[in-house]
Amino acid sequence: MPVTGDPEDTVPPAQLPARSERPRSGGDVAPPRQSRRLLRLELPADPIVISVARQQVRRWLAGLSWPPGQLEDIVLAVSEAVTNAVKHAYLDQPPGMVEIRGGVEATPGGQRRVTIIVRDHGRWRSAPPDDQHRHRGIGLMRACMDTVTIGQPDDGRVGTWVVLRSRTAPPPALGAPDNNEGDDQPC
Amino acid sequence: MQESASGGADSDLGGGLGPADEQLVRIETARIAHAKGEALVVTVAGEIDLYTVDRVRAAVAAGFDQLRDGEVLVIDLTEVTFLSSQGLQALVEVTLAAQQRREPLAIVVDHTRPVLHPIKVTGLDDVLALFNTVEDAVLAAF
Repeated sequence: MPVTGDPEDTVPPAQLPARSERPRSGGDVAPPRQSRRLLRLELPADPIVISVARQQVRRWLAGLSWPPGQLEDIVLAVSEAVTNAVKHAYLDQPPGMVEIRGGVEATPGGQRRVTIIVRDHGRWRSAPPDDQHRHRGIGLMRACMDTVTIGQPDDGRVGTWVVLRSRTAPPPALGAPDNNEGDDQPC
Repeated sequence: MQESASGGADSDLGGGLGPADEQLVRIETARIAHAKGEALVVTVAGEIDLYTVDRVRAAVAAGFDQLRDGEVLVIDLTEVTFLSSQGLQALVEVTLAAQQRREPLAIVVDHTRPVLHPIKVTGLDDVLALFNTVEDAVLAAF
């Protein structure tokens, strides 16, 4: 089962927005500008891809010049959410996919935050009250993020989503990669 | 002495989905002598998550089996770059196993954030026997 999308490219080709339908010359084309601000990943729900998810989220946040300590917190929270999807979502059925979507927003006072949604299309399972291990994973997510919302998607499709909203971070320093884009289009 | 047990190494899932096992975690077990006593040190380097945690468990279990009288088993995590809740769970389990077997077990962590932060925010720094260096762990055991 292949990993969807080139590991070098944050946006899987199948999910690129229309504006990116420009010719790609060779395999080393810079990702479209939007990929710096939007994270889109789709991975098979297999334990081995959890590290791939971490690597991609880490790279995305580094591209945004996110502060290192917060960056590691967000990577840990996403890793826990992906782990839950891999372990629990497709227990009695063939393994499906795990989707990871992230975006950045400006907050009052010139700060910014990221919101990342980790979503599966398996069976909804709430954590049993006596599952200490699973609650530890959720506790880790909550310790690492500003808010963590776990529930069923509101679009009527089956599955579980985990909405991870980061704490606010200062804007990137002048000259940092995120500022060189000259693209203030909100996402 | 190389690690003898490695669960997951025979997995058939490695066909291009992600990095090779040894890129994610490397485990070595070695016996070290100290003026105060001997220690069997299981050194883990890399990432401990759902995919790799069974290899860590297997190495620690093998360490218990190889432990001689008067030795302390030390898990050195100073080269670990990522620790998930699965890793935390494994540390709790091996700590409880050591207590049941009445064997001394120590966990070495330095002040780097990837390991200490998950341990602290889950309150496990009160549960696990944590030391800054292997030497500190050996000294405390004797």
